[in-house]
Amino acid sequence: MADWTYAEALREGLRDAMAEDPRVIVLGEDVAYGGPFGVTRGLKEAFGSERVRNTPISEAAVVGFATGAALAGYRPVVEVMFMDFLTLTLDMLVNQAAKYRYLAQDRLRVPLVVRTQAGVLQSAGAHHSQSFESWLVHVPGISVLAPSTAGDAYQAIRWALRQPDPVVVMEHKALYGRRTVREPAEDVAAGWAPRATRRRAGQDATVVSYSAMVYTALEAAERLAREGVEVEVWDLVGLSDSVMDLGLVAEAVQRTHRVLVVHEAVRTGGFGAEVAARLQELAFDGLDAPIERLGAKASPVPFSPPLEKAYLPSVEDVCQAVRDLMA
Amino acid sequence: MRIPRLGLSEAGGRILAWHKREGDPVEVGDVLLELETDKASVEVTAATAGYLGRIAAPEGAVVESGAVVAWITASPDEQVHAGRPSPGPEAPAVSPSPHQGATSGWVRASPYARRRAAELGIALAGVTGSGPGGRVVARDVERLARGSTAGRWREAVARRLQATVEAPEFWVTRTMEVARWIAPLAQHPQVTWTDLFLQALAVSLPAGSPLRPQPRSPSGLQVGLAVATDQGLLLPVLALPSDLPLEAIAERRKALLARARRGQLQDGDLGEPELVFSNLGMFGVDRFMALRDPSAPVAVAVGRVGEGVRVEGGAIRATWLVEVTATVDHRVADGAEAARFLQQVARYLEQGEGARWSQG
Amino acid sequence: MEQTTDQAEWLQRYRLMYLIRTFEETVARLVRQGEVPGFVHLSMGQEASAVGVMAALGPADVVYSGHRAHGHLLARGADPLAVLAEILGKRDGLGGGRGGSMHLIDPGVGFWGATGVVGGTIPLALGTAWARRESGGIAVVFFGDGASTTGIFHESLNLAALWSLPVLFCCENNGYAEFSARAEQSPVAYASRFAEPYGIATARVDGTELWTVIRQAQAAVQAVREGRPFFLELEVVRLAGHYEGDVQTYRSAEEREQARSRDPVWRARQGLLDSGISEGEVAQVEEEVKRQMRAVEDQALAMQWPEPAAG
Repeated sequence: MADWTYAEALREGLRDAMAEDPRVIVLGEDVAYGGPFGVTRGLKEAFGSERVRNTPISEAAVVGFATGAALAGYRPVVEVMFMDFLTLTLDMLVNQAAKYRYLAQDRLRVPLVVRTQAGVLQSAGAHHSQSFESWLVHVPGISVLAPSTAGDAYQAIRWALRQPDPVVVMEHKALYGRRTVREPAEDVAAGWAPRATRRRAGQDATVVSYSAMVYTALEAAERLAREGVEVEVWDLVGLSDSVMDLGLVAEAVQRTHRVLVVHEAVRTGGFGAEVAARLQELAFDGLDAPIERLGAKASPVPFSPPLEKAYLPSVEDVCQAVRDLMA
Repeated sequence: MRIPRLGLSEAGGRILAWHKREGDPVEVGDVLLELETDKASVEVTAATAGYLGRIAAPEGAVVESGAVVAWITASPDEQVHAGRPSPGPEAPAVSPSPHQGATSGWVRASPYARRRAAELGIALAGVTGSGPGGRVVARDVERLARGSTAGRWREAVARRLQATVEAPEFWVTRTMEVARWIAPLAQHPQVTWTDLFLQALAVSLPAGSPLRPQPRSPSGLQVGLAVATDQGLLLPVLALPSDLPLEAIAERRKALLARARRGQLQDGDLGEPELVFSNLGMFGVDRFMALRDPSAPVAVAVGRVGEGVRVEGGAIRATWLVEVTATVDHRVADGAEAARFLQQVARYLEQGEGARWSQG
Repeated sequence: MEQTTDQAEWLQRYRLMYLIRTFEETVARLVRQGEVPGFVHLSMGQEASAVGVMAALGPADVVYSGHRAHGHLLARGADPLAVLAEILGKRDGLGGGRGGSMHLIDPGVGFWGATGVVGGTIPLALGTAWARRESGGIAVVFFGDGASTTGIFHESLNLAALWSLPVLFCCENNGYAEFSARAEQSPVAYASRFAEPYGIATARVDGTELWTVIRQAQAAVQAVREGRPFFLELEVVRLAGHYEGDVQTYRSAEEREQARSRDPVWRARQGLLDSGISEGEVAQVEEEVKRQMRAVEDQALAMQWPEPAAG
């Protein structure tokens, strides 16, 4: 297979993990039928309905169930169909799953994986488009991954299913169909860890992003290159304290002296604030301009296509932000 | 009122002093400000008459060529909108100096600019910010560092040296007999050996010759004079028509040098030289090779005029000799062409009908 | 008089109930003395429920509880010193001082956690029950009747019934949800009624009568071991406030006196005496427990505080 889609990579990650480890189970609404994006297609046929479990529309109870099963040694993967519905599971995730290891002094662990899917695409609207990663990273005890490539999506699933503690894999609906070249190394699950990855080199400014916005940043970088501005683009991949290492990004900042953080989530209180704060801690005297942040407008996600388009940071928004940084 | 394009320099410079204040009447040609550029200090004159309105770039500001540094208004009380215009050709390229807001002693500067200032030993209070809102950013510190320690010329020299080092060059030296000039020069103390050599060069490099294929100016051969000043080496340009009398050459040269040493070079003094001339004879140097300017295909170095001997037909005679060395850009001319150029100079000095004097 | 086997067992159950009561009285006094950080919820009046249900369980079973968990944990066999030390926030407490009264966890005795969020452990019991279905163990979750108005309670009942999960729901109905009487919380008089439409077997019993609780719990556990959920509602009394220090202005003196007459410890003691165990034997057990708790208290108070971890 020369290339694969993001959704195929996730499916293969689940399939490989289930084949290797009988404790891995998959739960969620419609997962036995493949789910709305087809990620779990074929898993029930391969592993049976005991391990690939359709659930009622009870997000909280299902994540609670999975937490209880994880405490007993299973490795449940819960698909929360839209990240907007993650709100319904937060008591389980935040107050139960994330706390157990600490409160039990490591004598109980919760190797739970929650796959959920965020992002704006094709007028999904106010209840099916949101990005809540900054809520999750605020909770010690949960790891949060937001892969942008098929390779990282595969590895994120495999990595998450090796962890002894809760992991949320934040997928993006606009990425499922994105096809990328399959690197042979991606077949080797061991050794991969979520780490900030440079997607493009440049010396004039550093753009930090993750998930689908990485592609917006890359497109902006190409446009800026035609103007003579070379932008370095970093893809964080891992967002939570447990998996984020900004050391290499800080080194990049010491070369470029300018930083823009771009994400799809609303700017205020968004994850970019954390990145900006950390980068100024790590590279304060390398900054020649304030760290800029770009995120969605402070509004519920609108429905109508032109409104939806205006809601998100565009390629031109990224370009203009970089130009402002260069002033 | 914009900073004019100054000779070679696209980069503009630093405003050393304003000679007019806001509200002063301005006539065409009035010196408005002194600008320190890559090469030298330059007086910038008014192109229109009126009143000096708001000054947008204070003393110390680093401005690009084309930058708006002030507005000249038709009446003394005309208001100039004070806000920073939206970025575009009309915007001042510099923002108000941090000095203006520095009453608290705090200079608005980026963290990286502070680090660079500390590394370069620059006091931030002396740096004018070109960043948003007048913030001092790293490029301001670095620009000032190049200017404050050694003058912007050092940067220019280094840049030019680099440019010429990268070009293929060769050197040609010829010893020339100049005994016939001892007496005339003694009679005209205002004229020096340099003036004589300059005339020889102007005559020997007519437009269209291999080393000067395309004349750059109708005002004559553009000769860059390497001038040692307090600020270091400068390279003002003297325009030499081939028929210019020696006294006039001497007069123009001295005026140019005086402006260079005073740091008051004018716009026309900073063109692109076609030839760089350097005379170290007064320092007792016999022979050396001059650096070209990247724009000049040839540099001519003249050593000491001294007594020596020539052997002609087996007879030895005492005479006055000088060694002239040409540094030539090989991409423009080859060795034979360079040799012919020196042959022309030698012929003028040794056999020519004589110098062009303005009188007698 | 020679004790029968039953009598020895009864005396042992009573000892556990009396330990829980003494333990909580000690905690209440330490609260008044300012020795206990944070919130404490006492379960006085629920001793028969805790001891009775645990009596029906085996070592492979897993127990979850809510915020009123001291009795469940002690009844499950936890070391009173480790529990008290945790409630005091000491380094050698059950959780190293990380959790306190509302976050007691002791995997060593199959007690997988209390919670500060009402209803929070109910679905966990479902998952654990499913995961351990082949080990022969079941999962039990204790919660108050106040949890029965949460969404997670209903989602969990539905899922447990849908998937036939071997889980025992133990609702301790003390008539109060936090500070409010049941009638202010729900038009449904009893929590177990919510289980009926899901097809879950239910029983509602007097949770202050130890022998009744044991019998009903054994039947319920048997049903669960056969592979289906069971909902056991235990009508208990609350002899303390919602939390220690609660002045209970919302309860009349008459009502409180009536509750005291249903004190499960007193009723168990009467039962022992009625069965022929002498006052002296009972008093000896009580004296031993009091002595044990005095020692536990002294040791716990003398323990070191935890060191904040580096980083």
